[in-house]
Amino acid sequence: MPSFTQGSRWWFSGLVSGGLLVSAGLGGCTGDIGPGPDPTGPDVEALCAAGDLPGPNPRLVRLTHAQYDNTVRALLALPEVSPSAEFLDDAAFAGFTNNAAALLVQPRLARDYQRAAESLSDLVAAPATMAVLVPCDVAAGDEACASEFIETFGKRAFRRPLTSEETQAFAAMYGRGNGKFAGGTPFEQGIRHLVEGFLQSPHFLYRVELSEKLDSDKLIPLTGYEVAARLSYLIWNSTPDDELLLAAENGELDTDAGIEAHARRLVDDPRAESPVDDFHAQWLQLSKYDNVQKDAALYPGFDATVPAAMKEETRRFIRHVVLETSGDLQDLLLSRTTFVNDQLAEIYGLEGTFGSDFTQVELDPAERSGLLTQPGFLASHAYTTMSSPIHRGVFVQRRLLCADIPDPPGDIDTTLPPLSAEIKTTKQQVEVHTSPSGCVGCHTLINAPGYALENFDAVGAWRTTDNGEPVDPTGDFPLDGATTSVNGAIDLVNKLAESDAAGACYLKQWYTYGFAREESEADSCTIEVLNEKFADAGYSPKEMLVAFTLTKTFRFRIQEEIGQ
Amino acid sequence: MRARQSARRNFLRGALGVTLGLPFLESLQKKEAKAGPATNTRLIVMFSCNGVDMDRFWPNTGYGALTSASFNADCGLAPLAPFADRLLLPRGMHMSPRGFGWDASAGDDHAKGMGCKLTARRLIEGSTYADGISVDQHIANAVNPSGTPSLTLMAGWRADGVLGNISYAGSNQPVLAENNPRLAYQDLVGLNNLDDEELARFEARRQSVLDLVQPDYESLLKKKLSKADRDKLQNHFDTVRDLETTINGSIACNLDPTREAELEAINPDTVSNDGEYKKIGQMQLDVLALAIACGATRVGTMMWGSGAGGPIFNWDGLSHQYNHHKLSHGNTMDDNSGGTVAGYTDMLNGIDQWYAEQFAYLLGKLDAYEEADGKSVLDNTAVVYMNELSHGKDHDFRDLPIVIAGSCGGYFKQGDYVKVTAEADTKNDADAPHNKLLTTLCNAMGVPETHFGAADLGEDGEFDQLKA
Repeated sequence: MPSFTQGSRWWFSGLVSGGLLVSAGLGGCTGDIGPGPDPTGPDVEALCAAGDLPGPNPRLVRLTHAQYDNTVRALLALPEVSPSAEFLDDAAFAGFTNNAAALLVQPRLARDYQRAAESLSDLVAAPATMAVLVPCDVAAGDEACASEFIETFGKRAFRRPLTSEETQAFAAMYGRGNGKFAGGTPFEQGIRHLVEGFLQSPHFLYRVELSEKLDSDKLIPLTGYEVAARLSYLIWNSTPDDELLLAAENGELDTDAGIEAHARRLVDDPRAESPVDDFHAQWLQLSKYDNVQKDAALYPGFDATVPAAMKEETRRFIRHVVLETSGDLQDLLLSRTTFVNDQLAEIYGLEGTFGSDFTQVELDPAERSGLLTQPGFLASHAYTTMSSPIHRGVFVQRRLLCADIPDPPGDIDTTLPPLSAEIKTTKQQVEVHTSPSGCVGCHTLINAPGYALENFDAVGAWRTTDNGEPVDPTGDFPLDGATTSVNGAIDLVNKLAESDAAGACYLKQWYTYGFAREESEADSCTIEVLNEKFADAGYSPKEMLVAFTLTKTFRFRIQEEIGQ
Repeated sequence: MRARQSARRNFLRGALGVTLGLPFLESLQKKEAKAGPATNTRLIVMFSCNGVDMDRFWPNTGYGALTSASFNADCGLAPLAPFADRLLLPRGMHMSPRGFGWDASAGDDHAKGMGCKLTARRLIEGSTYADGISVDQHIANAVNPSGTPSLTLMAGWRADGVLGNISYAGSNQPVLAENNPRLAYQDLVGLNNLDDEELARFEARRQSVLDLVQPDYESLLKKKLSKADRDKLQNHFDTVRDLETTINGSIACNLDPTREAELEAINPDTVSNDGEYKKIGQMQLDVLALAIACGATRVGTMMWGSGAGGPIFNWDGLSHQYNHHKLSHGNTMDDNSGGTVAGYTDMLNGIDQWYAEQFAYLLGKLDAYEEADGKSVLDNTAVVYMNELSHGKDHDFRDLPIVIAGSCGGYFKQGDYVKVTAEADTKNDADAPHNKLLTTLCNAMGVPETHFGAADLGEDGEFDQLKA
């Protein structure tokens, strides 16, 4: 056991002398995920030779909070409701809050679901809403009308036709509704009670895949209805529309062509905004923007409304690139079209008149290009008074290149050397600070992308000098297995946009989010095939989502999953 | 099931509309406790982040009896002087596992400071969430009615991941804290303002829904499911069944109408803003004290801020420019670089005193609730104040700042400042791992334990020096 005496740096000396922790600490910093076989990873060739197999998809996937809201809005024709605003948040795993394995229903959420169902059933009592939901004149509502409601509403709530047992159970529930509400006809009370019942069923709260029959390949093909739900929740974060349910009923979703046709319809629908927005917010860690603070003397007026505007800019930018222009990762990294209000226009140094509304602008091609040159990213990866090449570089490596960069050691002195006659810039501070041999393994990856962004200060404004010295935005780092020199932000983002590693990483993260689980070995062939396709075509989210729906892992479950 | 339900109905009818401070609180809270001796002991953990100013945190007098004279005006705990005879200050305890670089396992010092403090377990490589249940949830599972976990509340901005959580339902299962007191309160008392007739209708609706969904769960559970799917669904089903018999939007007590109106007026979009920190935090303490006093739960936690975070303090005489984490490093940055902030240790001391004031606020609330035996709720509670770290700038995990208030029904010493390490230097506290405190808390709550936390970390047994 090490001594408990203050200042005993046994761990640090272990690091320097090449102990166990050296390899542990640097193991993640030895390379990127460029092409070529990874000696430690799964044997993709062998896996692909055995045939593209489905990954381990759960049979029960609880709705995320965003999916719950979108679903009840569609189901109850109540476009304004947001019940999940009162739900307890889900925790993030592997960077995303939609990981199906972690979507548990702990007691508080169970009560949240109960309250939401009861409140929504109150809203359904409004005459205008009920009139839309039931297939008859509400005043003339009778048992026959209720039966029809159970059939049609039930199919939409459960994303499949009800079984006869379920139909009977809901018919009984309709009968039990009378007398359980303060007002309304027996019909109205029955409908309200049905609504709260449907919304608390596990067949509503989870996407349940009941299919169990093996095909000739010993795989379990999903039913058309199950495919419909996978399509709509993947591409809309919402429930299947009637067209999709009809397609399922007609067998259109039993073929690749039918699935692709509907996937293409869905990605071009405005509802595709929900997952696109949610994915990018989590991938880019936009929640960090909420906590951005800057030095009041250096940046007067930088209050909480500024990071809020930065977030809004990035969200609008992503919608524009991905949805409106059907762009790809290169466009996200290179587009100079963005959206600013007066606060952002000031940071960008734009001339003209701007107000609190956001307007579309074209940025200076010499200074700005895509996500990494937006003030939100730059300011949230900076200190209160100055830039931070390390934070920016770590983000590039971890989020854009999927490099496994460990956290910095906790027991080392993290003080940057003070400015002096020899150390005049932030870059020089970082260079001196990270030069010890125990640091260079990771910082060879981290520093250069950070240096390339040194023309941007703590709030993301353009600068050519740092502490009175000219900014030197150059550096070398390994990219796609080769040492790559970068000179400034524009050069960096162009090289990242061209790189295999950035494309593969973007795909991998979309795959994790899209299938709501961490990737497994069984996915590696599927991902490899997808990568081959998009490395040439460009990593367009719309096209990737369509391609996901044509994989085996989308349409089938594996036999091995059963009975475990 | 049915029997429990009708018991609850009677309870609800009898208790509806009752406000706080009435002598039959004890009988209310004893309903349906399923394990442990028939006691009314409770546990609250109040947690703050970024360490403290260790030079002025502890009493200026030596070990032994605490009086109001034990706290100089600049002592970090000075606001607790009025409660001197209800305090127990254990000194010289280190976190188990220890800090990053000392015990090789996932997570940096902040991650460990948050994720290991109530679990005494390692963090998981990858997610960096803790690898096991936290002491609050463990005790709640044993002493609360089924389906009533430890109540987890917080104030301020919640960091994603391990830095935003102290409570765990199990390995890799963080229990997020509610940061909106209106929602926390609604969850406790949602149906309290219904009259008997309305309440009966609600209960009938809920029973009818349960009758509907129960066969769905049962038939799904008969299917061939992976273990993960089965556990997920079984857990959900158990919870749904428990809804019928637990707090379920109905405890017998309400906050006073003025306070209720203030909670109702909360803007959900600003609850985590710095400017709301004190207001929201004290509302949470009111809700927590109410829930504990009225028996909605016997265990709860209150987390102020997130690890490596914290607000910029600009109220109650504090006028800081940098957030708590930056100040903990003595400068303008989130590490030990950047310009030194003149007078930062005084600022940290001010923050320590401010949190001690909030702790005193909570103690005052609990002390105002009288139980049937004439004791206050505080007497029957162990209110434990813990911090992510000790010396913030060093990310130190030794000599942890811990305060225990209330004897937990006579289990703990009162009015005492006790060294728990055998060493003279309380930083040289290798013999006093904090998992023993968690073990002691379990036993104080009537949940027998010999070793809380990871079996290969820390030590067996309780801190006998703390027991009355």
